[in-house]
Amino acid sequence: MKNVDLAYPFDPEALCLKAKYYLKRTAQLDFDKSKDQKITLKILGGYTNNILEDWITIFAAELDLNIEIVSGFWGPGFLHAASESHSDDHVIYFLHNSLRDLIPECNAHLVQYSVDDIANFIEQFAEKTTNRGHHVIATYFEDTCIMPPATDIVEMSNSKIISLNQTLINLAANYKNFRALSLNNLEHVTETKIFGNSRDWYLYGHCFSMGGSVLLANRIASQIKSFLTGPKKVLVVDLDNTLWGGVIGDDGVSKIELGPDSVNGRIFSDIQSYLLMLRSRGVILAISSKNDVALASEGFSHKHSVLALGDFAAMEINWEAKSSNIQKISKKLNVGLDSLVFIDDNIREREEVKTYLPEILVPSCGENPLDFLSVLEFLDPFDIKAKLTREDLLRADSYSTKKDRDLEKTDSQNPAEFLKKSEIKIHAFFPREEHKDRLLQLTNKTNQFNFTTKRVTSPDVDDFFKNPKKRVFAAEVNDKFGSYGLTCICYVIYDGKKAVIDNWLMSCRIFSKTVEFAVFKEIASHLLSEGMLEIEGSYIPTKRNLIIKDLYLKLGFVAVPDEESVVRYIYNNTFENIQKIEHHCEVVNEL
Amino acid sequence: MNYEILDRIKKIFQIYFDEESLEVRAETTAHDIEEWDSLAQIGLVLSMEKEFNLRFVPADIERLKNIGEMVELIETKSS
Repeated sequence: MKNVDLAYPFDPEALCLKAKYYLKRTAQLDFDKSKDQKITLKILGGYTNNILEDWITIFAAELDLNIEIVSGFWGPGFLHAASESHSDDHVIYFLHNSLRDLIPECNAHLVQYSVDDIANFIEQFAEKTTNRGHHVIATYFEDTCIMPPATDIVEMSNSKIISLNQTLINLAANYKNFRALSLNNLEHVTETKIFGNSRDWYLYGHCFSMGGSVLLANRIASQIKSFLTGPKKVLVVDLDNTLWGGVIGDDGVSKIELGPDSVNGRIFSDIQSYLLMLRSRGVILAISSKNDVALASEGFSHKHSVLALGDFAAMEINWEAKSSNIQKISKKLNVGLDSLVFIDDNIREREEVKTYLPEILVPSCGENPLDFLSVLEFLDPFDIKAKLTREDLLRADSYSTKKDRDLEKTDSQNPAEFLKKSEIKIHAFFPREEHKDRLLQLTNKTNQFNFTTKRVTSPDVDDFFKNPKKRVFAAEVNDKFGSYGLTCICYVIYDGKKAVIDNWLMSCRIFSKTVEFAVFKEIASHLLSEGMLEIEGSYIPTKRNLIIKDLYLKLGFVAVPDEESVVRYIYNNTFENIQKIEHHCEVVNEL
Repeated sequence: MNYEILDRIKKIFQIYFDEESLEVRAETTAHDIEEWDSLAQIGLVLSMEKEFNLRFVPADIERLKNIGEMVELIETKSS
């Protein structure tokens, strides 16, 4: 955030009174728009949205998003037109589904359509737009804005709405690029009225309140940011007065506030449950606390503790500066600082971390434990309504087991010995339709072990599935500590007798375990058995993929000159030589 | 003309439009201030309701032609 006043939590009504000031500031921000990807936000709603649009503009600039906003109407014709339009730009749709539109007096051209028809229109819209790589944020049909006087909302809610909202729930569960947004929940989390009053409706046709527009705009801008850069991955928390009430070093485990017996105890129990829910969705939990390790760990043996020490993948409990501890956590987990969120009740600790590690999201959650949850729920840095892949569900466990691995690793003097003991198993196979979401996810968010950083859309992956000149290889990895799931992908394009590796990427959790050698061995053998004479790979350097700079050389490739920004390598080896590649993995080959 | 009310309105305008030297007179209308659009209209109404602790009805707002009429309306409503 460039402007601290605009970082949530804020007072939305107070911000409204300075809207013009912030708009001016936004216009003066001179971030290089030509450099960033341009995004078009299409609002399909049909209400007066200029306040919402102005505030999206303000928040988007804060998040370095280059957004152009286009307003349109909601309805079958508009949905159809939107899903058919072929735009080169990345489009994000804000589909404002409103109860008003289901009432014949309000939207006359809908009279001819049944609820099922409308559900179908929305389904087709979602399928076509997300398949094209676009994104959709759709509200549930649940507004309490101004209705024609004779409307029986209760009756509507119990008939039409249930099936329509179920449709939205299903779409969100099926499409990675589709989010269903509950405005009632936004109202609940922020304790601010989102829908507007009747006066502003009759005067201006506004359906959102002033404050509601600001909050909704913030939510939409943050969601767009999440779509583009992926959600945060790690939540680092303090212990005293963050996971339980009181100071465990002073009060002792029996006196800390946790559980049903006190107000604070109930709040902290809910905070712990929320963290456990995040963990089950693949968010990695970590602790940074100024404490004595033994005393602090006792907190998790409290009879009402929801969380166990083993739920945390990394812990830095000592008296050093939190900024340096958090850096250690980031290194230990092999996750970039910009993927971390830090929650602490102490403003001094928050400021210290913010100052030294500006990449980290440190919400100003105050000292009131009630705010920790509402801030996390509102900011939604982990994008918790996103469709999950199997790997998301396994991630937290695999990181916690990684902690076990690291412990064993330090014990073991010989790394090769350790790798052998880890019993790494690789299953190489051709991915199918059911793996598509994971392919998209891993390809589009992996930055370190990623040779060309070429991103792919859903149709691109389809092409690799169907086109006889293209092929995608994948591997699942597990070891005795747990499963990593599908964590390796290799895209190959056949060019006569040459196989060109279009991109090859692996999750940061599995490299440096000789998995890369094992996988290459299997893929190269397969390509040779298909009659290929040589394999070509290229390395496009970025700030973050230096770790694989020399991997092709290590595998036996020879560098050939090419344009400045690309290093091209050629591999022409015999089957016998490929067999000599060494690694410490057991392989199941289904290629 | 109640100049005390006019002065308070002027301050609201100056803060809202982020312009300390903005002149607001009884005869000032939306046409005189370039940035006075619908977004500003709503923000200004909200600011005035907070400042004077009162609430306008839709017709009040629609009827207003200039700042002078706004001053009169606030005076009537507060008395």
